[in-house]
Amino acid sequence: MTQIFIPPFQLSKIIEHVWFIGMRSMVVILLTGLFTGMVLGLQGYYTLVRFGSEGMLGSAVALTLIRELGPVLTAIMVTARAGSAMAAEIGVMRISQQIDALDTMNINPVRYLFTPRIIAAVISFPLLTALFDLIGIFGGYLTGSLLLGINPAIYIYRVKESVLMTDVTGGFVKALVFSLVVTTVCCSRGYFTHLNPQGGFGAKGVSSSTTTAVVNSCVLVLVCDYIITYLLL
Amino acid sequence: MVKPFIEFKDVRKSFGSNHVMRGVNLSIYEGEITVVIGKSGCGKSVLLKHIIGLEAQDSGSIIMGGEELSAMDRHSIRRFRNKTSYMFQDNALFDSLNVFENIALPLTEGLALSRRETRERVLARMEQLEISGIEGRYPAELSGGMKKRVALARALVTEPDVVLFDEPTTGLDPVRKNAVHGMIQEYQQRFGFTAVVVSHEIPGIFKIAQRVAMIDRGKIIFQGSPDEILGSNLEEVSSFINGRGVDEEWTSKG
Repeated sequence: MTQIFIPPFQLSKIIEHVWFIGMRSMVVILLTGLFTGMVLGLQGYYTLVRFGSEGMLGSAVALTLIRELGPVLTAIMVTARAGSAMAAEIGVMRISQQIDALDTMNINPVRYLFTPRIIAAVISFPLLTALFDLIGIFGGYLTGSLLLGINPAIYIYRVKESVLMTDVTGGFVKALVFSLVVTTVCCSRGYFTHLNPQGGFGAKGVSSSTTTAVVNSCVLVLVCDYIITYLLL
Repeated sequence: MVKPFIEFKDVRKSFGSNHVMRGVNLSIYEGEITVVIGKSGCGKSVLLKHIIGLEAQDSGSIIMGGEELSAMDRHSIRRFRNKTSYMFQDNALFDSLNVFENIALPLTEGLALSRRETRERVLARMEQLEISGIEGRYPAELSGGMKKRVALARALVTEPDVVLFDEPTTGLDPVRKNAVHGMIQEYQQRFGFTAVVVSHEIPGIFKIAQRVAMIDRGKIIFQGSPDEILGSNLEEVSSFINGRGVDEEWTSKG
């Protein structure tokens, strides 16, 4: 595994994977971020209004998104879109002997397949998380201010006032950790398709590896989220 | 007496309870085409994978150019693999790379050659194998015969000392089979590499072989020239070559 961090880092492949993991996940991140923010705005408003604190909606939406939901939902959405594809692609390479071919050519398969994906994920996850947070806060604004009548200036003021730099860096730390978790788990599941106890080879083996990769990644993201939150608080 | 270039000495290999190699002794000589024949599933491909290091033996020794493979350090294994190529049964071309990238891969990633040198070597090899002009096409866009040539170009582009062919004619029609056999022979003579070919194509493959070995029930039961194997009195050998007695119950029913 230490081979992953040995140069050269295959710049063109990294760019290709940043495009795949980052750019091509943008639509799904925009949609999920927007609707998550809108739901938070809706739920938050009807909870806060009971205590006469609906003016705090901006804080509630922004902190929930930046500290928790932004990094976690981004990681889960990217796992579903790009992580599953990584596991399937590498799994197909395994069963069609392409990974054996790399071995015979003196090319370290782990470094060749994992490194560009991991670096691309480390670049993409924080940016996608930032996008998710921003569009989510905008979604909260849409429901809170435009639909339910909270003063837009108060909403924006509460967002600016309540969000501290530690909240932002905490969210980015989570995004970085999740990027490593998701790519390592998804690439590994594909790579070890032939060792899958539920039927290694063939289409069934690849499908099983892909499913396991997505499930394991999502569970690990939530476990890591708890641990990082505990350490940051 | 000429010393073998690659030598298997009492090599054993099992996958769980399946004993694939039960004491294989085999000598492969430098600059020759050695053909390994045997029934399906008898361990021919496993034998090849031992030479390139994709599988490791449970016991026994494999000696390559005077060096014991299992005792080699990482540097020696790297050096050895740089001199050895493997042509897979299903070609194992990279679907997401075009023909040029497929052939160039061992040079750019394995040997870390410059872009200019890589380009020159790839184009030269493509020209020699008469596949010029398809650099930008992907494996899925090629015919079976073209894929074989691309796989062969990739195997030869590093100018290897040893090329291992795992059933290179599987799935090809008789005309293509002869073409691939001819191609192996022609390039072996031109480049002088040591070739080990695993094949079922009997007697066609004997035309290009200098030496033939037959594996049966995990052991090499015959080694010799094509003429010697064709004249062998060994029951297992003659039955296999003549397509008899593979599965008694099926042949007797027929």
